[in-house]
Amino acid sequence: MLNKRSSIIVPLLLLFIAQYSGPALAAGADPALKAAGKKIYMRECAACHGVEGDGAGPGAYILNPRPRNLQLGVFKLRSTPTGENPTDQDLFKTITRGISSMAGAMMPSFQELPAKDRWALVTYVKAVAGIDKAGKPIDLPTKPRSFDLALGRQVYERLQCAACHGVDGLGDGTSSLTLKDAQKRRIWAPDLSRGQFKGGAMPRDIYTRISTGLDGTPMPAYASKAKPNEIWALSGYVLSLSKKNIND
Amino acid sequence: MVQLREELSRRKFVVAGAAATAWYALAGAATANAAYQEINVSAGRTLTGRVTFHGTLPKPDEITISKDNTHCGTGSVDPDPVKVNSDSSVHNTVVAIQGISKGKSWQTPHTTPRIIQERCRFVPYIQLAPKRAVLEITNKDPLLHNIHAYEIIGRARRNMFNIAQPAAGQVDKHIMKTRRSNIVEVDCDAHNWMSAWIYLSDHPYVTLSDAKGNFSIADIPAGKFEIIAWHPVLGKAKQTVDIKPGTLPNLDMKLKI
Repeated sequence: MLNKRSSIIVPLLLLFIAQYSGPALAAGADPALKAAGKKIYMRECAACHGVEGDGAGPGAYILNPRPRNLQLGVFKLRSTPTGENPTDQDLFKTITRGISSMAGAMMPSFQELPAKDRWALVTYVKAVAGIDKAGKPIDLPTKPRSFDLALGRQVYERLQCAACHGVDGLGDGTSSLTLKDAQKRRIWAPDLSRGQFKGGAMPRDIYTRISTGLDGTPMPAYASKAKPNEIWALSGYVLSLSKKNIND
Repeated sequence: MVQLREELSRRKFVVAGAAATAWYALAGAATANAAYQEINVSAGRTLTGRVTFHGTLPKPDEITISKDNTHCGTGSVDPDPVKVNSDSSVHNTVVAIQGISKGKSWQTPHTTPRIIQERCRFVPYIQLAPKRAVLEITNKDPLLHNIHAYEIIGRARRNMFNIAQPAAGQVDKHIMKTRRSNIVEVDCDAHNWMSAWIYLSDHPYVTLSDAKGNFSIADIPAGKFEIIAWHPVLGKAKQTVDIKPGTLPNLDMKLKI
């Protein structure tokens, strides 16, 4: 009798343990790497992103923009289309570079951590974010030898970038005054003439940001709204606002 | 003897462990396959009722139309307008049966959800669609709109997608993938008074209350179900109904913020 009962209770108990032993973790994640990542996360990241990854660490309140709620699984800096998961490389790059905004380096660079530690962090962040499958990066066509800046300016006007970024890219568009982030906090369109780009200032970074948007911010994806050569020209034009002689 | 007992006990543990693993796998599979099943419903019943609100109305949100006045008009707009009739009834409230796993099939227009941006408003303001439906988005205005969809999870807004439509006539299609919630909020960052809502349902036993607050859900198979009402501003209501032969109650879904 006891045996029969225990044969039901034991699996139930195991089932209970399996379901409630911490946050759901992405299938296939290497447990050792994830555990290593968790340790590094608690040391390096939890102060801002929170112990639970909810973006509400003790240091969060002084930061603007606020640290990301990693649990929601939404990331600004992706090489993948809007609404898709980032790739592992995208997360690794963000951890390595940090994120510089107009107000300074809000997320510091973690370049000083050994690469294996940054990869462990990628594994742990993916687990917290509930990402089990990476998105597929957009096609990145070959960069032209020089940028057609006149075309870039036309595309800037046609895509109405000025609505937020302003006619001259100074971040003073009429919509910039009313922008809010996903959590309804005030956010501003960046001044493109400062040369400060969250995801990097290489032409391919600008091309990617324009195409995929920055999920969680008002910046939408323009992937289907211009041809690749037009997006390259626009990327060159955006960079030319902060960098003279971009074609030299 | 002791050895034998230990051996038996160890085996029992292994068997139990294997059983638990299999069980867990099955439970996981069951959750993944919990898709709604469309069947012929014979002798289905119709549930009717009314949605009402009795509390203090929240202060309307007035946003000034500060730009693109030629196309967007002038004055101010409440992004989420609330109208409670003199008899307390409420229009545009979602009423849904909870936990119904099989029944009637989805009908148009819900199978092809569409949203149009016209004169800087979203049309329709609120609609129903099946989970993971593909939303067709059209811009009729000759200016930049961005369709920005969020899944509402408690107090958090989870970005679903954000697509620019900088010219009139542009049409985009995007799948509505949610993780946990049924509620999708749609914004346009370029025009902060634009607002729309989409309720994603696992099944077609869902409706919107009409201008007089009335609703009706047909072809319900027998069973005991929880009925929920949800309004973007006026909150929620919940009741349990036993769908069985005989007279069914005419529900009064009283919303609470």
